[in-house]
Amino acid sequence: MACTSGAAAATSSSFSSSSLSQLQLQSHFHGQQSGLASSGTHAESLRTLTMRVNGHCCSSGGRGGGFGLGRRRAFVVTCKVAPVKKTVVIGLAADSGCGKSTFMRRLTSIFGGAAKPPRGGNPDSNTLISDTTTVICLDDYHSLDRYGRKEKAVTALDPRANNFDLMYEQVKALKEGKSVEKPIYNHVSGLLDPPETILPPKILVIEGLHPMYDERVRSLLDFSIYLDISDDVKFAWKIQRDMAERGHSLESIKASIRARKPDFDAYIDPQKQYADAVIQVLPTQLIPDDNEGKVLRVRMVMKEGVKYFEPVYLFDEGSTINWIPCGRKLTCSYPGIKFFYGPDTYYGNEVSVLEMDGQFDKLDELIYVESHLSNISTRFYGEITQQMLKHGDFPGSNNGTGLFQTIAGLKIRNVYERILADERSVLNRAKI
Amino acid sequence: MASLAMASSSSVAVFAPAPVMTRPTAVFSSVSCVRMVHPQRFGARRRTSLAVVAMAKPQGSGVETQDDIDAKVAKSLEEAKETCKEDETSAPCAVAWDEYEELAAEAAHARDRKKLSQDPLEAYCADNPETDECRVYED
Repeated sequence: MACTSGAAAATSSSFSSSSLSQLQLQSHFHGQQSGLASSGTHAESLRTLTMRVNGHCCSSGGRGGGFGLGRRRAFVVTCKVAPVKKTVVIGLAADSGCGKSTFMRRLTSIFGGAAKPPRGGNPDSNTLISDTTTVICLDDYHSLDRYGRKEKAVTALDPRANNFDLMYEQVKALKEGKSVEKPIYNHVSGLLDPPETILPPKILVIEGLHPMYDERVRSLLDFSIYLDISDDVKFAWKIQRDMAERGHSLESIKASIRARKPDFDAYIDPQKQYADAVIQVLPTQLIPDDNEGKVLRVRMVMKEGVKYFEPVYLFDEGSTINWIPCGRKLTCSYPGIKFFYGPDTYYGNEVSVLEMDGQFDKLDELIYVESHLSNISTRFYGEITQQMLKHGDFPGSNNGTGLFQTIAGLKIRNVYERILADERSVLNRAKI
Repeated sequence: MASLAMASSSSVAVFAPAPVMTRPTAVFSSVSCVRMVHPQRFGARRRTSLAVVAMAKPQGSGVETQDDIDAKVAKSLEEAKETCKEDETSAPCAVAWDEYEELAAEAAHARDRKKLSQDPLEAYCADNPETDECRVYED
């Protein structure tokens, strides 16, 4: 931020040293420069002394005149700092359809308040709004509706069906605290509906297929998560979802996964390398030949060196641990629980991997496991267990998906709080 | 649906069908809000003049029933099977299966919404179990 400097002559005065000592001043004095705590030099009348304090413009006015020794003159420095209402932007890459996913519900529950579609608007809106959080579905930035895609023979996974310029423009505007008119993609009719107004929230979550695809949008994200479901688990979940209805068969479900795979691998999968945390859902290794997909092995791959984010660990950071919590202190039912933690490299990045295989059966197991995890960013002992129990009817509440989604939610809260704390400390330092 | 009632009494509710909008993407079906205006009195003679402001409700999932969505899913399934008969790796085949996937996901969400919408308290408590209305006392 450039400060227009109107300083004419230097000042001589003694600043009240206590208040200024906290400032990191990068002051531009014109003319003679005097030390901060100097006293009693020649009294030239001070004009405006413009200082740059961490990017905010501060100007001071004061009276010149004679300063005798021993007279302390406090300068009034007024900083024209616009209170920066910073919006924290989180990206979530997921294939499961927007906004209604379990992950979103857990996340909004951690921040408090139920997330609801905007009142009085289009009932087919994909947006969810709670007190602190707004969740935007990236399907709304489709440039081609269902009929357009059929015509051009392009799937929704293809970047050609999405308007990344608009996505970047609007996410940037929201991040800067401005409202936007966001289009609505109606999943029922397959058409693009008239836009809805989105007000800038404290936390903006963009969920969809391409949050990290475009480089500019990626640069706006404060934290990003990729939900990676393996094909076997995808297949098992889709069977559970669709087989109850008529007309679906195993073959058609397999065919639909197979047909989307080329586009998925080309456009969606590569986003994994940019994510700060990847949650991988794989079939269990505890039960040989399990194809029901009920018991899951879930891995959380956490990038090292991300600002405000410390990976969760077991026992000690950087070591490799294989841990079976069941034993004398804890009895688990079949197939039990198995944990792994260790460092690794992932797409050329240094990462730490925390893995859980198996299922939770009782409250005791949950609290026991929680008490041995470190860096979980909880506000009090037992917060993870409380969150998991609170949503005991959500899918995944008894296995690693629920556990790691909850941990990811707590980490996001931690990132948000630390960003806010940084902003506040900048403003505090600017005050004199 | 249109009924216009004129009376000499003071305030009258007027219902009128919503105008058909010319925008191709949005079809508005029913009236959702009507404002009434009190008539003006001019001297001895009462003149009722009414202003009708009708806001149309955008057509949404309220109109689309579960059966409609299920029918769409079934249709897209048939289409996908047809398109992929010749060549399974072609682009139109991928697009057809993508469309089926989108509709199946929407149908599943609609089913979940229906389950929750049957009891608004259940829906609220699903997301806010800690509030007073939702506390459950179990021995």
